[in-house]
Amino acid sequence: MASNRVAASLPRIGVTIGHVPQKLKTGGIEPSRRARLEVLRRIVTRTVREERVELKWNRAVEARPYLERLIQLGVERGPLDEYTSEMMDWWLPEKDLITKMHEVIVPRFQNRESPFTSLFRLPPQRLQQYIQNKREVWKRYDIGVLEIDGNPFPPVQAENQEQSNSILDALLSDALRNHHITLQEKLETSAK
Amino acid sequence: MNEARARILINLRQSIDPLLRIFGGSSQHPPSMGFAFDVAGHQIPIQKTSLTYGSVGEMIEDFSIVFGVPKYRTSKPKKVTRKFSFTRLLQPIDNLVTCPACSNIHPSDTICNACYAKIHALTSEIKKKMMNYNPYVGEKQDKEVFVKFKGEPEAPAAVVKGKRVLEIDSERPTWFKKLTLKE
Repeated sequence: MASNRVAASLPRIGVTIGHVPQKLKTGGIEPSRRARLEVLRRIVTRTVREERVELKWNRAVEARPYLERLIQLGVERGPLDEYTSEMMDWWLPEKDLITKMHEVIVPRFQNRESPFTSLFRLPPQRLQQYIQNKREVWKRYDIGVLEIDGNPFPPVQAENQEQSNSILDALLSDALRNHHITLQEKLETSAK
Repeated sequence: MNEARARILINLRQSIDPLLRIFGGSSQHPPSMGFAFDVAGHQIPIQKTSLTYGSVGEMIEDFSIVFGVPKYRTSKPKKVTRKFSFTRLLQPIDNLVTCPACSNIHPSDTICNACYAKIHALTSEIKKKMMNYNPYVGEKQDKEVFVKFKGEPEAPAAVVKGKRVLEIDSERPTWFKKLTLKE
């Protein structure tokens, strides 16, 4: 009931939703549908607390829409809404994080379009697990970096710099820069 | 009558003695169930059966007939599939690109690993400072964070805007740009 009401009134979230529900298994939780949500909740809570986390790729993809929707609820409805507070209470069991959500994260996105999160993929990494009878056991990991935008950390992807190797591009950009400098000087002299 | 009894005894002795020889070691026992005087009048030479072994290796060699062995020949297609099926073939990676910043090679759908390593290190350092609060005594992350590196002058209030200032012990890396008034 409640979910229908929300889906009708909230705009679409600007992230892709994985087409296959991932089996999210974690030690200590018996695998079930409920356990899936518990794992997702852990991830969402941790992301709100730390703002940038490294996860297995499929988990990051799976958790991102939930996080996105939670932030969107805060942005669209505000902290006083009944459904929003219910969702915040469930998804963020640590109460200081609800404060953080409403006072820090949601104000960042007041006049912004979704997506509010970014997801980057790292190259597959082979990490050594253990050595068994001189046999090295390696495991392959697909790792994703999930983050809430506007965080204080250095940007994961540097802005596009002037990195062209072409001599023509380099000369043109230098000429433009010189032209701007001479223009500035002319303006200053005319002002004097 | 006497002859039949003698044959039964000989049969018994023949079946028990090799077992004793296997389990009892190489020392020569007197024949079991023997009379003080020999029935047959002379020592019957025990037939060299498969149960008498000189060494353990010999025994294992002989026992190999009772181990599991393939009953049928594995067909050629099965062997070839096992060796060279699609899971065993090496696939070429054809989406490699060069990072414009550090010229490290990585797949095109991922970010550069080498560049991310230093971002990761700095992120953890800032995160450690950011997480340094105690929620159990009512402390909260209720302010935005402003990162101030070592050796930087105090930022003006218009830039800080009432944010929580984290002081990092190292100097600002050249690739991490400063926050400006423009944003």
